[in-house]
Amino acid sequence: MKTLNEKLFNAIKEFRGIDKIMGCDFFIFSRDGIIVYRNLSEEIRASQELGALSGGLCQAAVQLATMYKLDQPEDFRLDFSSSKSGLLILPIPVKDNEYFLINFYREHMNPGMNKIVFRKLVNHLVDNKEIFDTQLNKEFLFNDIKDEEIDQLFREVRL
Amino acid sequence: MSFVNYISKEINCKIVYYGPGLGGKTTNIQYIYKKTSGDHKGQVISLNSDNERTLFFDFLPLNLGEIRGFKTRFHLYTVPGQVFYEASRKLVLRGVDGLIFVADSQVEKLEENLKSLASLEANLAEQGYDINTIPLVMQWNKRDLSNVMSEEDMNEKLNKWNVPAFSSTAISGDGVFETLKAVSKQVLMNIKGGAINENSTSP
Repeated sequence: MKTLNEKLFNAIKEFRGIDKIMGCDFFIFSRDGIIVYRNLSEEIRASQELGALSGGLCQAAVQLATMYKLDQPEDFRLDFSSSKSGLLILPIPVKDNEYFLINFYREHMNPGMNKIVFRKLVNHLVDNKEIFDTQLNKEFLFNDIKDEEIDQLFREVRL
Repeated sequence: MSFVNYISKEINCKIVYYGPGLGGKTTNIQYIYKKTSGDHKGQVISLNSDNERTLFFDFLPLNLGEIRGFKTRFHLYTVPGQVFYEASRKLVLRGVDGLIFVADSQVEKLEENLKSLASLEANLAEQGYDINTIPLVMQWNKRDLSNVMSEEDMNEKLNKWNVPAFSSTAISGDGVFETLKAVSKQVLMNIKGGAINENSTSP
């Protein structure tokens, strides 16, 4: 069984514009800020904090658009940029708009072209939206957990 | 919603600290950060106003050890307590797996506690959650102050669901980990419907 990360990796590998994006910093994350795919240079650590901030940013933007009664905010982009550096967030309209793509760029010669390529990548992922399908497990993962197990879990992390 | 990766055996859960303004939610997270070893924690992210009041959320990623072979990763969030940040609170509650309601024990704060609890109940219902079934723990905070309600009174007024309740003084750490452990146990016991083939990369 392939993970979402593996399925995204394969889908992106098949994207026709892959040569234009592999040198770019981007990641895909869920609305809750969980990073599910990343392509980042070593200097940028794909931390959970990055995911949480990106998730919060997107949720706030979608909520603002909804409050202002804008139609279909999932088709929008969130752009925080100058003429050559910035960040671009694109919703991936699958599964109740649960996923987003963020691209960071700096000193870029042609940010406009960059945005077009990432829009095409999102369209490519939407064309393959079955990769986001998930099987839900209806069973409880743990039947009973003892207090000692929880104590042990925390014992390892406390100073 | 919790993410369970059965292949890499990882669990991601979201726990939210809820409660009235200046009740001690951020202090809880700051204490946990201070008392957690470096390998197991990320940075605290705080989106604050100029006077250091929470504007959107505080966030602390906590990588716990393994339980029955599963690596557990908890994402701790706080909501802004001030009344006019209701929209932000609703956003932070999305996908929540467990809640800690941090009540201010001071007698004069009862009304604010009740209002905050009512907002929690309404916001959960709006997003399809049932406060009767979601993992929830109460924390009676600021027990070091002199003008506090008795724990019995707090239970009677604020804990109609009879969920576990802990006394705390978050600023000194008393009760902070006990509360987190209690909700963590409930959350882990409640995990089901996790996405089997969903995965997060390991940052």
